[in-house]
Amino acid sequence: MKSLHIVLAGVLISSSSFVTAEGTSPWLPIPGQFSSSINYSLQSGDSAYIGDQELDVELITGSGASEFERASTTLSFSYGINDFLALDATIGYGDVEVGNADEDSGLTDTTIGLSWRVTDEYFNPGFPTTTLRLGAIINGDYDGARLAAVGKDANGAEFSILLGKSFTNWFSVSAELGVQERDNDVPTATYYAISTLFYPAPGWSLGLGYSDKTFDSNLDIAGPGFSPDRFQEVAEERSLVKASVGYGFGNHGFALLYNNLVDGRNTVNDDAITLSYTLAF
Amino acid sequence: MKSLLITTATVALLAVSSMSFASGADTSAGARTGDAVAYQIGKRVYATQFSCKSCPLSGKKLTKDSAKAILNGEPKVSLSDSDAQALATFLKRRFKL
Repeated sequence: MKSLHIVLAGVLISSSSFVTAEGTSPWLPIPGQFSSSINYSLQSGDSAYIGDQELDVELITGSGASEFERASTTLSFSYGINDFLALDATIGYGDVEVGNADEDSGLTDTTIGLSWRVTDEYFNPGFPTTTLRLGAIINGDYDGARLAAVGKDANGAEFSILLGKSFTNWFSVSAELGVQERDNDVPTATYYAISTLFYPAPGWSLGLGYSDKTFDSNLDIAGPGFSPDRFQEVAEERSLVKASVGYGFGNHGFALLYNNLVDGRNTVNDDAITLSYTLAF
Repeated sequence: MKSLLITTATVALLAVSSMSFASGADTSAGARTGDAVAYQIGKRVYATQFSCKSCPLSGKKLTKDSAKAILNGEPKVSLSDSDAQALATFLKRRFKL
């Protein structure tokens, strides 16, 4: 029976891209500067939302799995074309384990984006820094139709507007509102994020934030109208709180980030910790 | 029937397991370098100390020549050491000086 479950899951699972460029700053890179970042992230959870009902993973699986774990390493790049245009790209490798049931790894989805700063808060008094970003989501190299799927197995595009305002030299606020469209019957996703950043001492930064992402659908896993071939169409929602601490000097930057899911639907109740290092040229 | 329920629940778990990683909103921007932070602060220092309405360069466009002049101390504006360093980072990187 277990093998049957796995086969069914492998056939039916819709997986999602986890590499996107959300979190991009409204403040563009230094003109002419090329930056590269390596990010290592560990994510785990031991309960899940089926619809809006939270259940233990162990209970759902009949002790087949007590939690899921995911490790991902991403490389991200940015280049300041000039004072108001910038390019970014992200590529990664992910490894997923779901108890003893299955595991998989592979090249994750790639994103490539172009950002255009429309207004500059410093030279347009009364306006925040406003940046528009258009990006492409390119399907990675993995098997999306299996238990431990690495991604959503779909190509797509994303568009977002980012706003930022520095109120003092040591305190700034930014926000992002975006939409993603993917093929393979994946619902339209909308998201927003709000972040605050403090600079308590030279080189140091502290961040606090909140984000929410919703896949626009009325379909719940195991709910009315649900069938195994409609996994990619379910209404997934994730609301996160985020905290970070960073230190930078010269062309180097280090950061430790923590994300925690505070509300969700059709998703795992998880948290994640990420280490990031950036080197600019 | 029981088997169907178990299968549905299992499939559901597997689905959410993979979907848990779906949300791009989980991701965050990479670490900011010291120069990137200084550039941003320096830009603000320029805007609030040099080009504001009551500032010495009010209404004037920032150019490579005016950036050089500021780096050479003209016009004279009293700044803290950290603000002066951030301003220098901004002007030098902005105009490749």
